Amino acid sequence: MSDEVEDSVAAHALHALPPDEALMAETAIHVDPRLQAEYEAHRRVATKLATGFPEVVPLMSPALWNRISRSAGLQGIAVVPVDEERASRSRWSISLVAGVAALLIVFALSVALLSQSGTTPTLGDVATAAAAQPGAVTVALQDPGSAQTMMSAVVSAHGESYLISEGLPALPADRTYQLWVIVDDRIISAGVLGSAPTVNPFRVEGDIVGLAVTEEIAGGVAISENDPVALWLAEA
Amino acid sequence: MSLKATNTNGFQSPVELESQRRRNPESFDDAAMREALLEQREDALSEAYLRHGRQVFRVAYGVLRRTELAEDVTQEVFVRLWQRPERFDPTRGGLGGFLQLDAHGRSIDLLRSEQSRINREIKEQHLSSASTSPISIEEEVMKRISSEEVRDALGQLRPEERSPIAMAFFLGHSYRSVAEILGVPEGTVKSRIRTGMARLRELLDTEVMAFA
Repeated sequence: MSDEVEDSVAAHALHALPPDEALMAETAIHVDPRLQAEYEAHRRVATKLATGFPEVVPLMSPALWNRISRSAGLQGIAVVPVDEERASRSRWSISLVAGVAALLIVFALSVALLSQSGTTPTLGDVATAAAAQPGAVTVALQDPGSAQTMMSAVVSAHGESYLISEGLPALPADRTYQLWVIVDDRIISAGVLGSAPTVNPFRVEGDIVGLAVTEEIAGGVAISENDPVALWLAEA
Repeated sequence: MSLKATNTNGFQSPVELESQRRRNPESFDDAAMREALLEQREDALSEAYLRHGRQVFRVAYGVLRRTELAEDVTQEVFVRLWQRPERFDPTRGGLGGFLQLDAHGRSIDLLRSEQSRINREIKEQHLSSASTSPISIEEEVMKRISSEEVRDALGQLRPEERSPIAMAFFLGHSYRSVAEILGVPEGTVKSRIRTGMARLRELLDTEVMAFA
């Protein structure tokens, strides 16, 4: 093979050829196993170079997967109609308000108990006290990619639970973290955590098999399409 | 707290998919993924998106620097995977790398299209974000590279090899455009790209990465 063709194959692996020359290079690669091997080696270098693109990029639209599934003509993975999603979000907001009210009562009771010791307890103190209660379990929520612990959760035997940030980065004001509880095969929103969570109370019922935190638009979403930034799953 | 199930309509969110994957981590290696895609199994495509969607978008955004265009490319990459899964050969490398290079190629096609007004604006944006001096362009590219390993490897190349590779791959220039900017013959640019790529093959641990 000539140097010129080999040069073209290397440039093609970087997508640096104009279309007409790219077609010629493809043809040469197709008919010559040695060129094919050379091209694959260059592609592996290019794949490695691709890891050099900046990690910090804007978030993808939550609707992108729906666009893909619709464009691909998928049948089984349904697209949530806009109206239904909006209605679902409204109902979710109402249940969240009721939930927050219940949590405030739990929190107030906990604070009252701790106040008897003569100090002003923080929510962190309440979580620490809850972790020491019989039957309480503390689990770590990890970044699925790096396995770094991002949050911990204290789940009491009675359902009152606390989510504690272990270094989750603060988000812009128009974004929020959102907690999801996995019970059996259901994914349930347990509310938004704000853009810079520290300690957040939540309450769950049923057998929890997982906890997940996603990054969402401020106000939260009814159904998340984002990867979890922190995740704990019970052993199967 | 009154909790309400929200995943109606059979919709599988990434959280749910991740949950399923953690419970059954052996369910899809790349070869099994390809077979499942050939059988037009929809869970295989959603799994591929869950695993690689963000990195595909990152590469597309890295080239295009426009969120909406990067999303268009991401969509196109996964729809192409669904429509032509035979294009992916797991014996030649991982699915993640395949999809990222596909995104890179599609992004550059979009960037170079002379018919698109938007693309011309992007090109202007690229040029305005850095001086048109070749040295400044290269410095700008090197500053943007997030991987220390890639930056170090490129840093070990001779400048005449580093510049065309960086400008072609990270800014989307064709080798002809690189030759024009650098003021050297087109054949020389292609030759330097090849020798630089061969050197990068020695400097970067590509075997382990590609088949991981």
